[in-house]
Amino acid sequence: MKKTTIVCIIAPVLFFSLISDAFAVKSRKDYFFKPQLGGWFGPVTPLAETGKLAETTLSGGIFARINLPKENFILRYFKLGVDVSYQRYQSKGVNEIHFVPFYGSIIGLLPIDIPVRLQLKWGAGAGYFYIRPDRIEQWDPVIHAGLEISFPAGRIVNIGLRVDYLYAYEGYIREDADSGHFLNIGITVYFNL
Amino acid sequence: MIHRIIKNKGFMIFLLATAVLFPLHGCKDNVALFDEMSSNRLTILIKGTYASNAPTEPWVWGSLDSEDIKDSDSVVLCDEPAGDEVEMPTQYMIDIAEMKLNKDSFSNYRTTKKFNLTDDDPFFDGTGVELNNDDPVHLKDYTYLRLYTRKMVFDQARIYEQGPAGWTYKELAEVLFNEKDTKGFNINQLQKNTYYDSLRVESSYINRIYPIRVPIIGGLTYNRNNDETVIEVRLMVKNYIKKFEYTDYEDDELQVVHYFGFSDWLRDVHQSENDIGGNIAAVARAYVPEIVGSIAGSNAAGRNIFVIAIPSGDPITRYSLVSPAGFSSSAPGDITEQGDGLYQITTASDHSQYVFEGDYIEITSWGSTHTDKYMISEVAADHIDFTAARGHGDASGVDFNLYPASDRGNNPCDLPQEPQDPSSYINTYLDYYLSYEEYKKEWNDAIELCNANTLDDNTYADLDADDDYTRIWDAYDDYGEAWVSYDNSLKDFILPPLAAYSEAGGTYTLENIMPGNYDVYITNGSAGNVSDVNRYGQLFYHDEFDLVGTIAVGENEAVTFDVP
Repeated sequence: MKKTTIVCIIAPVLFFSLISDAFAVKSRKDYFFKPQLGGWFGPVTPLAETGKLAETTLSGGIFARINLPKENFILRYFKLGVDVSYQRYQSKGVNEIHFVPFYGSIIGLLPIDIPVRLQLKWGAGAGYFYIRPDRIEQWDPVIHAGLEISFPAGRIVNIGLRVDYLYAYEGYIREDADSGHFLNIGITVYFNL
Repeated sequence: MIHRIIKNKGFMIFLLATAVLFPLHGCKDNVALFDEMSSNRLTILIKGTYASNAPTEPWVWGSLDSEDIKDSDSVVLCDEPAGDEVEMPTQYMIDIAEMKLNKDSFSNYRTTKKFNLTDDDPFFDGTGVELNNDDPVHLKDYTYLRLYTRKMVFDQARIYEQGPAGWTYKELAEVLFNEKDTKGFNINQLQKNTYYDSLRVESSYINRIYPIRVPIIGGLTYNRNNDETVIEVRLMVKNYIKKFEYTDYEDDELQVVHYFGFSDWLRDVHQSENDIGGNIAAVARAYVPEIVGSIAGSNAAGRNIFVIAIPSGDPITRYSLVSPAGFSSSAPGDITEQGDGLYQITTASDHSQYVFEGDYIEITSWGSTHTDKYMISEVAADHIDFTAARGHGDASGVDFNLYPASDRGNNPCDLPQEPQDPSSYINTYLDYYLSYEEYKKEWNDAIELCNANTLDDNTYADLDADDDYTRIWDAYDDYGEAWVSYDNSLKDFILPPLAAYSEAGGTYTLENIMPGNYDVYITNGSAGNVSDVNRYGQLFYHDEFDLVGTIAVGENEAVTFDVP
């Protein structure tokens, strides 16, 4: 037998035997129904108008999530979470934004039967801002929407990728005021408690 | 523990509610942050003229050629060959790495600009060119702006090489400007040092060009509640360009670059000195367009003049140099020896406004047959203290002259310079040895004048006879003091913050004046027509300004003030 043929046979066998956990969807999905605590790390970037003020940087944060009553057929697919992170955006010029979003969110599990879990998130809260060189600090309302893809790595640990959009609303200060747009992308690790 | 907290739904719901409801906390006085960051309320305008607003003084190119604007001290080695098509510079290029207000970064933007040396270029017509910047810190005081220039280039720099028939034109000098090959010569490198710096041990660490520290007259307290604040920066470029000579060896061949740089009116450049630094005359001022006033009026002087306004009470010597001609005694004075080489001379008139410590007094007849300059240590209303060699004794009815240290010609320690290193070329070696002999003789003559304060009868033989080594050390000190006082009297010179050009019989307008009291001066008869070609490359001495009035300008007030 040729070498390539051996590789073609053995490689898939090895691959599927190593990722056999990925097929245990039904039971692992249950971990969604446990409270969770985790952290994330990854690139964060200001978008649109805000993107002209500062540049992409790295950042991270922590979050905690609890379940809604499991007895209810609909509510059991939703969780409540609290997120906090610290983001410091610098620019080529002197502009600098320190941003600490602190928001609550509703997390919904998409009922699709695939090896990874897809969750959608919607939230609201507040963001602490400190900007330079003006040296102004204040809190602004923050609205949040996001998507999370994750899979379990054992009984306790989950690994995932999260994409969050944060909207810092400033229209309440002046009607035509620009608001802040931020995109957070992160690799996340969280624990089932 | 964490496990228990997170499983406590009551606590989690409280946390969630806090997060969602937090925005309701204290938002009343909030500022639109992102607007604040993107809006720019501070404008930096850069201008290249003496006048601070239009109309500015015209270029006087028309009646000059590049031969007329050469610095005759500097351009000596190479005569441009007959028929060489020497042209006037047409462009001034500046590459600004960044700007700072005091030490705060507020303009981290590299900017390259090319200005045409014409009357309608915004850099030269009084409009000014806007630079890219952010806003500085709210309510912080700033007193100067730092301009970090990477390069400053004038075009039309010509390289000459020595051929069998003398100097021949080789090519136009080329420099990398804004990442492109550009015809021109970067003068930044030579502006790094002055001649004074090159005399110092730490010369190679001295840096006059990164950054150029431009004082903001009256300061700036940036307030974001003003819709706009302008900082106007002026660099003296218009009618202030001269041709200099730079010598260099390329493959053992002497070559010469004739390039254009800023006039050496302030710090005189002599032969074979490659350092032309310290000659960037600049000033900045800040104004808020919403509240500025103006001063305008007619010019009855019968000549083209500059009208300048400076903050009331500021000495005019900050914006001009004391005339190198100095002052002669209106009446003879009496000298009393105070001991230890200190003398006092009575003066009939008060010179303290224009004569300072470190300037020179020349005693025309006192003890010795020499006419010597001595360094002044104190100036009072009725007397002047100065240092000289011990033992000259008292004298009465002595005539004297006073000279400012700011003029290099008045510096008794401006010793001749050693000829330039000859490289390894036989004919340059021969030239070098000849020049070296000449240099030795000149130096020996000059050093005695430099040490006039220390030597009793201007000979070094006397020092040896006295066997007084402290006085030999004093002689060395004289040299240092003379140069330090030269530099001290120059380094504070700045352009007047407000200046208007006015043609004979015409009018003048000083625009964008912040409310306050201003002393208004005009250039007088001894300055002549300020746009005359004879004034090319020069600024003004104190006796070329006359004070014509003190004007109070209110908010948005247009003051009319005719100048005589």
